[in-house]
Amino acid sequence: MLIKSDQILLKNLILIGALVLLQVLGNISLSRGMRQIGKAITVTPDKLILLGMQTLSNPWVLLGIGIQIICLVLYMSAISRLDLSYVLPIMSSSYVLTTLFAWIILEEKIAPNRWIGSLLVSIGVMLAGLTSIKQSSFRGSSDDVNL
Amino acid sequence: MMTWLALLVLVVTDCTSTILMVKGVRDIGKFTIFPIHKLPKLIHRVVTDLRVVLGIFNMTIAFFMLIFLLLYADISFVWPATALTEPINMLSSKFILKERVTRLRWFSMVFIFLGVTLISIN
Repeated sequence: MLIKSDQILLKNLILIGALVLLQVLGNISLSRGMRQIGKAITVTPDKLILLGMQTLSNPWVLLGIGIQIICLVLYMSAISRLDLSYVLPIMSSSYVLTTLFAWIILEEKIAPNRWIGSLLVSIGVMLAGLTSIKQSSFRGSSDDVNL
Repeated sequence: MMTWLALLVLVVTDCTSTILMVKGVRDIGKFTIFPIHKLPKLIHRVVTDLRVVLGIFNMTIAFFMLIFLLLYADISFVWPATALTEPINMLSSKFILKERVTRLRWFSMVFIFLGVTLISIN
């Protein structure tokens, strides 16, 4: 049976985990939508209006925006109970995961330096998590952890 | 050039948004969805807090900059490039929000920053 501190820790981990995963899926969705719209070489005011209309009527972009709104709620919940210097390093794993999902789902060609960079980011995220996970989980250890 | 300009706007607005929202949300209190019947009151407090509103405004600009950037580049470049906000946010945590940042956390940020830089190299 989990003790209270472990339950708090688990809830915080689930919260940030969901935040990261949704962030990545939102990014992939947005990217897919913008790919359908196409590359903009020059942007003039009249083209910008057309571009805006195309963007806001694309289902993938709308899905991405919807996911990002959910992310905003989860993010506000996370930063209201955890240190920013704890939340942000964990959220930075979304860079690695976005690259991975872009490779798998969007079939982007990823250069070796990007994969090496992803590994470095992962190590950095792991270090940040290992050093601060307990400390941040107990911040303001009230009963009000009910997301 | 357009890519880097849009990226600069994105980084500045994103960092501003983070600091404003953290300060606003922390004064409001813990942001919880449940119990549902307390949610309207919470939403009212959020939308009437100037810092949160300005934070969301800045976040919106940053978001549209992200979408705009996706017209020019792949997400595997654009998203890691937005991590230029990370070192600035960490400094803000330390000096504006007065949070305790351990040496190992700083060290981990070096890893993250180097990694993100590598990812961003075309």
